[in-house]
Amino acid sequence: MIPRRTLLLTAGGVALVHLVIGLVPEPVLSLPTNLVMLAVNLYVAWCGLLLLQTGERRRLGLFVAGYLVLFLLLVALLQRESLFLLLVIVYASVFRNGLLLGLFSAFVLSYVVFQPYAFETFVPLALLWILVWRSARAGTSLFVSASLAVGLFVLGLILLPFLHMLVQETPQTLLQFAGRPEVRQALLVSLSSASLATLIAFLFGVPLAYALVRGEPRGRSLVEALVDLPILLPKPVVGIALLTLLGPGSPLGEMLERAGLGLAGRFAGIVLAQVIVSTPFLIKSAMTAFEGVPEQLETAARTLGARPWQVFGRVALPLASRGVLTGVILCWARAVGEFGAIMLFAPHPLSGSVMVYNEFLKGGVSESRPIAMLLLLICLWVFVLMQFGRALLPAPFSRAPLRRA
Amino acid sequence: MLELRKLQRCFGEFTLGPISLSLPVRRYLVVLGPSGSGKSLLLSALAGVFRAEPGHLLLDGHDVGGLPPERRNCALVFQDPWLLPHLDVSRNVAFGLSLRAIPKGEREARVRELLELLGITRLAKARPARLSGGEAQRVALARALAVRPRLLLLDEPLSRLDHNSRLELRAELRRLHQTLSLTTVHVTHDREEARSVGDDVAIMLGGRVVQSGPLSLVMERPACPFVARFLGLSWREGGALPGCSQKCMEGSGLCDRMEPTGEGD
Repeated sequence: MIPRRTLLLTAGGVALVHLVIGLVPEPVLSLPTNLVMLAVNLYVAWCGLLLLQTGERRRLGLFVAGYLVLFLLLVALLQRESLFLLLVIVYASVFRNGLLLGLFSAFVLSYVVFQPYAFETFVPLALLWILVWRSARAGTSLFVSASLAVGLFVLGLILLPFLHMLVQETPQTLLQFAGRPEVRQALLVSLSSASLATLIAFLFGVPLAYALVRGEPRGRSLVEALVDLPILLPKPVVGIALLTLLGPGSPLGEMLERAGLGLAGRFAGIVLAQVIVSTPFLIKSAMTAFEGVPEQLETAARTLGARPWQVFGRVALPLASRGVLTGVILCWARAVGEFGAIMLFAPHPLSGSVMVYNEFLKGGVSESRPIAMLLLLICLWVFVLMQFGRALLPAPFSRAPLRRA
Repeated sequence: MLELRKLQRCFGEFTLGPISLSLPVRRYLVVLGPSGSGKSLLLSALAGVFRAEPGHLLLDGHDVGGLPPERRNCALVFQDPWLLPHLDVSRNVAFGLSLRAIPKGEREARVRELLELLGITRLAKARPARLSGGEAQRVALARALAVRPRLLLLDEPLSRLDHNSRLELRAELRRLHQTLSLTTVHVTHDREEARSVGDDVAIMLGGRVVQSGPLSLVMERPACPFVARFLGLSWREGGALPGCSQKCMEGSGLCDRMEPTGEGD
């Protein structure tokens, strides 16, 4: 327990301060406010003394400093005494729990300092603090924790515009836009074409990735460069190249058009453009995943009688499945997001990203933002769904398996 | 019956073979040699990981040298167990069976039988990541035995285990061989291991078999000073053999006598 003498001294000190405030000729605080504040400050002082009890003088200093910061910010600067009282009670209560204290600071920072951007700053800050705190708690070195903190901060800045956009529109506007048939049509085109493109990429990309990892190493770098090519090219270049080869007026394009298989300006054209720009992501993720499957595991399976395709289907693919799914997510997201190539090669039927652009040209940000948000929400939802799907897949092989007693 | 006829393969600087060797059915051959002598490569050649040409590899009279591993029916157990981490123990053991058209009931019965034989019934539902080294190696053995291989290949199966598990599993291997009488080729660099499990022994150096034959015979009459030393015997004949510079004794890893004294041709 706190020694009675210290307790009395502190309580007396706090009371004295409030007495002085109350007795100043022109009182800054009314009598009831002063009384409530006295009670709060007594509580805060008691919390501070509890810190002293644990023998941590440095933390007591921090405690006082935090109190002063809150005071300066809310009372001196913003003149919001009641908010100060409320927050200071919370502050004193959570001070001993670092995680909660961090969240509290993030809350104050977001909702008091960055008030117009409260939600979109609070979410990343809170996440950042939770992750950094857990990393520090796990005994990670200062360097790693600091790298994490700085990196996450920048990541949070990337997140900011999207979170900000999310709170701009009311659900009503969103529903209203989602109800418009042309919007629905465009979103449907985007989602179905991206899914089809991902399926195509999966069917030929995953076996290709496996072949590149397991097959003859000669020529591999050449194929890899080829795979990377669409990532390197600006997307309008892809669009122009496709138009030149398959567009109206080109021999191949005319031939396909006559056969009823025209691509430019058709749904199939959208899919083609998406396959080209998004497959590399799937192939590269799948290659990394297959590289993590030890060859001995496959050799062992073969000596047990597995044909090469059985080794692929029952050993390599299950163990690489998480990486492959990551590739599928990246590929799908890239396909949904494709704009440049589609805009040039197949602007019709209207897809989501093209529609956002068109609406922006016609009506500015306010007309295109709800559609953009719908696209964002759908993508987020699919992303979350797929992330949960990952957990259901077998974990990749790890050389140092977790041994539990 | 396993028969190797002038099996050979070049790997850059290193040449495996030519090796000629024969192993009667139900015998337990231990291939013994220092590291880098090519004994694991020999085993890989037997398993079919690569094709050894020129030369022939006969299993029960059929030339299997050109077959891929899955058609040889030679189960291979490595230093590390290489269990499939996404399957539990009983499914790992059943893996080879699940590739064949074997009815479910029979499959389960055989898995149960093998788990019992190796004393790991209690681990049937465990994940490989939870097993100790010795347990995992037992599962790997059970998995290899489940497909009833014509030839069981063991590539230093005990070298990654701690001392106690090694002794335990060594006795287990001997016992298994007595129960199942599988033709077995066991590669090791540990002469104690070789002496305690093998019927026959082949001693390798620089990619060649220096001497092979029944263990007792080789122990009685080592062919050269290297063999004698490697088996922990003293070289009684005295002096050098014709054409032997004894460089191998200084760790050159090469035998310079042109004709290996193997009896298996």
